Amino acid sequence: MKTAVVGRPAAMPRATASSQEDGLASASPDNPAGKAAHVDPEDDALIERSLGGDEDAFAQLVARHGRRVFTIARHFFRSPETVEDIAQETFTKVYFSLAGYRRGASFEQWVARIAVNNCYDELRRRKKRSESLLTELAEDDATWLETKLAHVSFERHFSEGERALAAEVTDRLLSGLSPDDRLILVLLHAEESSVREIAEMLGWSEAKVKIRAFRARHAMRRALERLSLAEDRKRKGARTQTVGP
Amino acid sequence: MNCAQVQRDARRSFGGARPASAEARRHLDGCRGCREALKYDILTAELMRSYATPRGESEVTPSPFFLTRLRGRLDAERRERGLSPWESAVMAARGWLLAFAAVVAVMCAVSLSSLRDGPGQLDVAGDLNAEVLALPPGTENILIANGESLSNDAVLSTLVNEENNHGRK
Repeated sequence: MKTAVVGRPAAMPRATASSQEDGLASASPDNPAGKAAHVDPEDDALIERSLGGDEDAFAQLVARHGRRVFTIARHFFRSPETVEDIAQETFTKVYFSLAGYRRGASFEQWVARIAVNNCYDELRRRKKRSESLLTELAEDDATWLETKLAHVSFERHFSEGERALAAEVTDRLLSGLSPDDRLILVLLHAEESSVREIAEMLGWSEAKVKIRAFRARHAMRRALERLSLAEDRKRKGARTQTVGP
Repeated sequence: MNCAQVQRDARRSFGGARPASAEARRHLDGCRGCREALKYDILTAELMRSYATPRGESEVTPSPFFLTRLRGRLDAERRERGLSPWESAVMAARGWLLAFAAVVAVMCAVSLSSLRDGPGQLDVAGDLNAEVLALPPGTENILIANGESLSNDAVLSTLVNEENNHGRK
């Protein structure tokens, strides 16, 4: 596989065209952001070779950054197929946009930004297809959630066994939220990004990130409250049936 | 730190401003009022962490076939992106072109079929003529009314007789 990449990316559409329409930042490295903004000279050398048509160099770039891309995709989606699709889409866009990457910036951040934008696009596609219809929890899940709400703690985290159940419950809760709310919640709590990092990654102002974060937490709170109310109603209904004739 | 300060500090941390201070965290664990005020935020953060935590290393590690599949996809994309504008247009309209070609093929088949049926009928008539013409001169029949046929000689003798009878009158 020895096909030159030189020149091709310039004629290609931008990697994050659909996201740009919504105000998300492009994957341009002119706006570096992220946690550890380190520049790896080895990346630059591999990029140069890739642009010269060396497919093995690109394979090395994939090997070096594959795990980061998979981790980002996994923070947004639990299905392994979706995670792999997102990773493929990300590296395809990276490959065809390589000529637009400015050497000296952090390649890892550039790739991460493309991955986040791909996840955001996928969230919006799913919302359009109205795949997320789940609102009710199983009785055991709702009871568990109630217990957790009653005994929240900053220091005590979920046990290993509880995490699977928590993930199921969260999946259902998130399915009712907008793509923007999900995006912010994942970046804040899973990626553990700061407001500034998110702002730089998405091309938003810090004020916008804060407002979106507030709205997202509020939406999650309402979803949790709805579930609590539903659980209360269920309990009252069960009690009425028991007391009744 | 009092409750208001702790809650403000904690809310900032949930909003991504900075992690809650150790003092605030300690206060929260000992203060029921603050926990109640922040319970949804604390639970949201914990749920999101659980949701995003991979169930195993395999979930965040590319499979051994990932690169092969990626190469296949890159090849396909390259082919698609490498087409000239008119090739792209043809590729985009190939469904319509196929449908059009199918309709044309059906119409040609129907036309050919009707053309073949026409000459066939003519051939039948031609065969009849050929059959009549092929009769030996002495036995040639002449069709008359009611589907009866007479030989050439019989017709001639009838005409001669009629002329003779007319002459006698």
